[in-house]
Amino acid sequence: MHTGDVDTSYESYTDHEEYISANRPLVESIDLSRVEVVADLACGAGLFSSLLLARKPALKICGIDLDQEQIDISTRKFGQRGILSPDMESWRANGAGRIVLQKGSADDLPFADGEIDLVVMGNAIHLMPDKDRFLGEVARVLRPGGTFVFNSVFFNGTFVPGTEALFSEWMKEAVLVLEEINKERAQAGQPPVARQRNTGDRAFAKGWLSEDAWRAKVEKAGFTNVRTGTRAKPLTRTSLRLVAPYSGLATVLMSGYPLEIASVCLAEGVDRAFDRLGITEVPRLWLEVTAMRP
Amino acid sequence: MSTEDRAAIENKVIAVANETVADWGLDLPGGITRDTRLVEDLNFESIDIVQFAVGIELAFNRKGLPFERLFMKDGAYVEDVTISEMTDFLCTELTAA
Repeated sequence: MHTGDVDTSYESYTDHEEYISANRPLVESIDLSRVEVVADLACGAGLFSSLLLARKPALKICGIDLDQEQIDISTRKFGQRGILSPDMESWRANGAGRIVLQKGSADDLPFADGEIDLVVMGNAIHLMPDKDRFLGEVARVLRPGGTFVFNSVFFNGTFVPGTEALFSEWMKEAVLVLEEINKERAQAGQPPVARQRNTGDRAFAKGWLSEDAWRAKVEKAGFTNVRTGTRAKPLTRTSLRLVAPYSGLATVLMSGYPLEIASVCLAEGVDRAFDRLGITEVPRLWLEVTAMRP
Repeated sequence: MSTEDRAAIENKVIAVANETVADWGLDLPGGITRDTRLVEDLNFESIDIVQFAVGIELAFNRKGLPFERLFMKDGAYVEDVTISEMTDFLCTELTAA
């Protein structure tokens, strides 16, 4: 979806080399020797699936996402490659080297118990409303010895100390852009941009966990061989500019404002914040977790 | 910083908070005081916090205040912030070089 000159999809960001390189090392670290069937949860535009297929083209992958727009993007991408299965039935029967895409919740997976060898989830587990229930569902669909791998850039500890100012300044600049828009509207005899209150979460209540808390939660769900770690990757002006107007982010960060206005404010805010601070990038930590179902 | 200076800062913070919530229809017996919590009492969402912070910067004519030092502790977001805590933060930051 495009709003004026601002792209509010996630695709342009996930296609960017910076985002790909942030995810590639984790995917390359997965032992695929005993993996044939993969569930790519919250698959988005299909980055994890693409990286996995590049390593092992015979994989049989089911990508699942709540967002129909993401499913449409993935369908187009994998369809162009000629590796799309039309439905679960044909995927189950003849899915090696193919991917099937399903719109649905990662809380309620369309798999039999133990059907999956590898479950991956790229930068989305922080969004799960009931993380214990979700982990239980992942454990259910994994075969004994199966692997669960996820990463997230939204966890307690993601900000490298001293870099938080960029994110504060970005949001403040976005609000100042909104004020400028309202001034222009006032001069034109128009009312300020309307906001619908009580559409977002309470401030500060992000539901983020620390690395240690994630390890404890995954172990509590019955997984073993839990390995956690963080990886520092640069967040440049270019990539923050790409992700800032994403609808899934804009509706959270500027809850209640029209998407087209929020996206413009957030995108413009990025440039102003980087300019104000006189920087070109900041490091940001990615949490990476690998666990096995016993 | 004198008690009078702190009181003046707190009054300004309360004025910005009142302006922020002016048309929200909140039921606030006793109004906004030093003990008022931004999230629990005023129902602030994330963007409200940012707009409040921008309002504070405009009221005190100071851009670039490091609100992250107030809103984050040990790499995690705090649960809530009171008017008094915001005032303490400003007392520190406004007197810093």
